[in-house]
Amino acid sequence: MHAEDGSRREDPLRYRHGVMGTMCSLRVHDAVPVATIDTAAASVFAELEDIERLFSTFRPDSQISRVNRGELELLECDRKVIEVLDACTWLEHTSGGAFSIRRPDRPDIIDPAGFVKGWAVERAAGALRAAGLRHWWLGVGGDVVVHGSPTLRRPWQVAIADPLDDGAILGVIDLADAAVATSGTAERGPHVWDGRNGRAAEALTSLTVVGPSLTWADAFATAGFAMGRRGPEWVARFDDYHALAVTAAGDLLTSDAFVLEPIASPSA
Amino acid sequence: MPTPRKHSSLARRVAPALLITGTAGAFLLALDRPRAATDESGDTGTTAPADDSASAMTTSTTTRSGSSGSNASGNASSTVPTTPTCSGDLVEGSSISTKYGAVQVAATVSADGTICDIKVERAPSGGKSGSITSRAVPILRQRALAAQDATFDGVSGATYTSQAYKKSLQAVIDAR
Repeated sequence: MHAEDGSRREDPLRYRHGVMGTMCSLRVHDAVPVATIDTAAASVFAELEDIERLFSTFRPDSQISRVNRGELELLECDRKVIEVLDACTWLEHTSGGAFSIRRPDRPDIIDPAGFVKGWAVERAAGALRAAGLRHWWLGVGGDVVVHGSPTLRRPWQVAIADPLDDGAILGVIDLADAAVATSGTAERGPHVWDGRNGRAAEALTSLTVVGPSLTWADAFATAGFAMGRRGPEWVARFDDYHALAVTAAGDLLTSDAFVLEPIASPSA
Repeated sequence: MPTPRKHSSLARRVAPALLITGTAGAFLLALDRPRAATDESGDTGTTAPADDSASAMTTSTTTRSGSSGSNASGNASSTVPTTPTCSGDLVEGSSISTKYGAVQVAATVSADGTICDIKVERAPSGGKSGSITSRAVPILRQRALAAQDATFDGVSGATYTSQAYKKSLQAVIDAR
């Protein structure tokens, strides 16, 4: 390990990198040589790009696209593709079919996009851990994984976007060594379907999941969103995972271990 | 850490994938699955509720813009003020039972009666889901503040596109 827990830079190193049709934001606070952090950051972005090349349905040459055109057998796919499809099968089963990699309008093709991003970001974060970095934030398109803390005095503070009020937030969550993922319709319109009936999921406008792993926080956010109002309760059945949803009517739903601090007046 | 499921039940779960891929069990445990707290007999504990309306909800509901708090904060004003901190009195909330264990919060109430700070006094520990002991209960600290006035390191929200990023709160934070 390179850094003692208290050893942080005065000014963190910040990186932005466009990938997967969105933006990756990385902040590292460790007081280690810049070259160490640059190398780790480059590995993070390279991993994300590798995964995008394998999985993107927007790329005709991705393995998923080739599988869907019948040009590639699953058996011949990269090990990562098999790992993801295996996990998706488990998620589909455990969500009672609410999550599905088969779009209702095109049941002949597979699209694991609802699972891949969180898994990819967690996997890419492995480069930061492998470099011995202890205090960092990695966010990709609204999914976040954090480690350590930005300073000795405070933890990471993750704001949750208000899905019904552009530019506003629902509140802030303090986190260390945890992940946050949000599924919703605010940015891209209805695009999550309920695999049980093939219809667009419309009961919620956003579902945020907090938990130890971004792979599963993101997966549960997607599946729980598809489930509708029962989504937060379902998410909370998994150890250490907690959910916060905003319904289409604008109400907050939380799993029972999720604490809401009351709204204080601005003058307080 | 998520606990891998038993190999036998896993095999049943991924059978469709195996039929497709023809691969052996080498991949089965490649990715740890989270364990369900209520998973007592195989799959039933984690299977999704089929009916959206037949509700035995344990979730709490509160309006987004209202002045009321949650199940936790609602209890915060029900007991006696103790140690003064911040700019007011520290009020210990009553213990709330969750399936993970007891949660207790303490609120700081300022002179004009508004709650200006809350912290968790007691978080779930032990019991059936012992693995939660080292993890904090997430607290959403809601503030009636404009986003630009709030302190935070970044934003979780529904996936934005590269274009939408430019207008996002995250972009504002990254540019700081």
